[in-house]
Amino acid sequence: MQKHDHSGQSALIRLENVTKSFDNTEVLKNITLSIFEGDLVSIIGPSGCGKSTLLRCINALEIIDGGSVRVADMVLDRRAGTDVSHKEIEKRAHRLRQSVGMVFQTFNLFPHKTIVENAMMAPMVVQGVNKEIAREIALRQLDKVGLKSLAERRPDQLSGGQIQRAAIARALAMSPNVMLYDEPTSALDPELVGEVLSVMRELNAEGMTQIIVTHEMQFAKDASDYIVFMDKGEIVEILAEEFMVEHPKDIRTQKFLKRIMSLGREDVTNG
Amino acid sequence: MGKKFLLWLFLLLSFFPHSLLSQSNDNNDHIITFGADARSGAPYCFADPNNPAIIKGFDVDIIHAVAEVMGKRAVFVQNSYEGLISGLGRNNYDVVIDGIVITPEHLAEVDFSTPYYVTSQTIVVPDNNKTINSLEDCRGKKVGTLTGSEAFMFLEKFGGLTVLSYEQEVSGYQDLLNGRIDAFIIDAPVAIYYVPTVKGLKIVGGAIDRLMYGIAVKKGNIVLRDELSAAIAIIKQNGKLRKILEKWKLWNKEMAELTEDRSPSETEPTEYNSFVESMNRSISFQERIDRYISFLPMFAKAAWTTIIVSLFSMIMAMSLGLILAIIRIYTPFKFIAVAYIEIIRGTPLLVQLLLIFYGLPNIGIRLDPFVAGVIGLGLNYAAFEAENYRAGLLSVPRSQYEAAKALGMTQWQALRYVILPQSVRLVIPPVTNDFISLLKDSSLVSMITIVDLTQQYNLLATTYYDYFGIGIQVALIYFIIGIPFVMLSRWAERKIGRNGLRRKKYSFNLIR
Repeated sequence: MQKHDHSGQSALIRLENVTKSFDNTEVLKNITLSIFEGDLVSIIGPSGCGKSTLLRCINALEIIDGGSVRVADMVLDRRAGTDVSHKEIEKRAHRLRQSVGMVFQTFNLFPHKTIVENAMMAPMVVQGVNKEIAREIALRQLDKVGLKSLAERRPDQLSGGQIQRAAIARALAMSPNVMLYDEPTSALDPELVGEVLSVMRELNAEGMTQIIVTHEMQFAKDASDYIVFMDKGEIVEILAEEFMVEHPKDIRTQKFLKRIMSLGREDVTNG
Repeated sequence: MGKKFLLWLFLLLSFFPHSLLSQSNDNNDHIITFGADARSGAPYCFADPNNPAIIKGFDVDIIHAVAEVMGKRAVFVQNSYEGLISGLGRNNYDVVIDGIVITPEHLAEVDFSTPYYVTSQTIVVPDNNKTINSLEDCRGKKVGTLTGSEAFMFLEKFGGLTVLSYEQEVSGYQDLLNGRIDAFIIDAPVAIYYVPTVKGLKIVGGAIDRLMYGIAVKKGNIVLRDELSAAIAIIKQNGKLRKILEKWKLWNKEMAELTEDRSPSETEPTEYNSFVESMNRSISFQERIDRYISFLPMFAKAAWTTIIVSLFSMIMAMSLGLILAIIRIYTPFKFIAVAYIEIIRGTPLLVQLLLIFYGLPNIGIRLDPFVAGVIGLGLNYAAFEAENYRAGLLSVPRSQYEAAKALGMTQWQALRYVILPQSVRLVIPPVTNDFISLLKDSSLVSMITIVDLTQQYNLLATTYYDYFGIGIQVALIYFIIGIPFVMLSRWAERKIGRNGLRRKKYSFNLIR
């Protein structure tokens, strides 16, 4: 584990008593978490524990039911007593998404556009940047993920690892405050996982704040500032030191880690 | 893309035949426009078999003579026979002259000049018929007549026989020969012209009923009515009317009594003779081919109308269809779109067209035939295009929408830049197929006075009594017009097969 020093610094992302339900199932129960600038945080836990939902709540793809989410100076506050209209929530959620980058397990590149066009679209459409500048921005980000030479290719002409790197470049083109990754390597062939993880390591070195929902325990252990273990909609414990990963306190964490270490990655994903 | 589209539209508009847009907004004092149906057939108003571009007939000659007396020039406006009377109310033309009988029913809707011709009904039967010699003999038999004609109402009142109604007298004669009907009852002038030209028919019995033809004007237009009556009186008196009627072999004892001019005929029935001759002349194969070739300029013009009507309708259908699909999928007003689509799809296109063209004037909306045709077809096909678009929009995975949203796009931006471009490619083949259907369905606009390919076919077929040869010709023309769109559809299908659906290797879109 590598650890940043945050003494005297206030959190970049602050979740307070966040709750979220789908239909009548409570998926997130009273989550409180602070993430500081430059941190790389891994979120782990068994399927259905709410880790993906937590990620989606941070960039307001899901609107929280209670509590508050703050990213930099943008706040989505739904604590009791804060009576905000639906329209106002949508407005704030929309602003929030613009400063949070998101990478999906299923990549979700736009198949009708080339790689560079994929990365140009949001700056042009959302920020009103002109085409030349958008192209410049897009190419700079593609260069960062090592895809500048493939800029004019369409997604269906690339490998899975290349596609996911392009998706990272597309998110970076919006100059986000934080990058969120929802199981970014789960849909990749094992030999393609490394190139995506190394892009994330480089971004960490540049000081980008990143939150990753993952099953890559080795990566989580090596690269993360700390690991958040979730189960049944709650944060069970935060593993901030190397020895904590080897000797977690909570019985649920112990069980999960034992399973994930002994079984293949695929089985955990499917189980 | 928007600019290109506008340029395209502009080009189309600039090629557009303006005569179609304004059929009779003529304020020229020296012109009197008359509505008639060139498919009425001889001797009223018909395309000259020797040169189908010329419209002739005794009604045509009379209105020209009347106009001349009034110091005006008569100009012909094509209108379907059934819609002639309602066309007056719509100001499509100043007067109607097309063998219109002065009846109480007609008088309720329009005003008439004094009669310019008096005649009767006659019974036409096959040559070999021995049993029918009077109207009484027709009881218990199947009797044909023209749709909306005086004879139709007369026979309904007479009772005791089965009445079949025909759009064209030609088809009535055909059925008489085929044995589908036993007798055909029709205005004497029609019988006089067709019985000698259709082999195997004869006229039996005496005159039935008394028919007075008048020139119809819009209800309340007393000034024009009186001017016409005055002009008719003059041509009756100076012998001009008699001359015209004799030329057409239509001078009869009723007219002699009406004008009190019982002197023997002097003028040769030249028009009658030339008509009968041209109809009876058997033509060689070469002549027939030459005749079909001579139709080509007329068919080219009619085909252009068909294409333009179809293109404009399709543009409207695609735009409105997209709006409907978006309303249905993305807005809370889904029920409006659903109701529209179901109502339009659940009612016949022809009914919609007739309602728009003939029905809307009742509530004060008077549309030009071309505009009514485009709106009718456009509104109808919009319902089908909406469903095409809906299928296309829904086929784009929800994860695409989420990715756009995560990049900070609004719902509309996501739709515009991400969802729509992907769905359009999937929608091209069904939309192109629909355009081919629309091209063919556009033949229904012939029912609202537009001279499209089908209408032109009707005009020529009734003139030459040749539904077969000309029918094949016109079917071929429709087929040829459709070919580019069939090719476009094939091309689009191939292109999508190559690029659009090859996503199996890395399934971006597994999760919805």
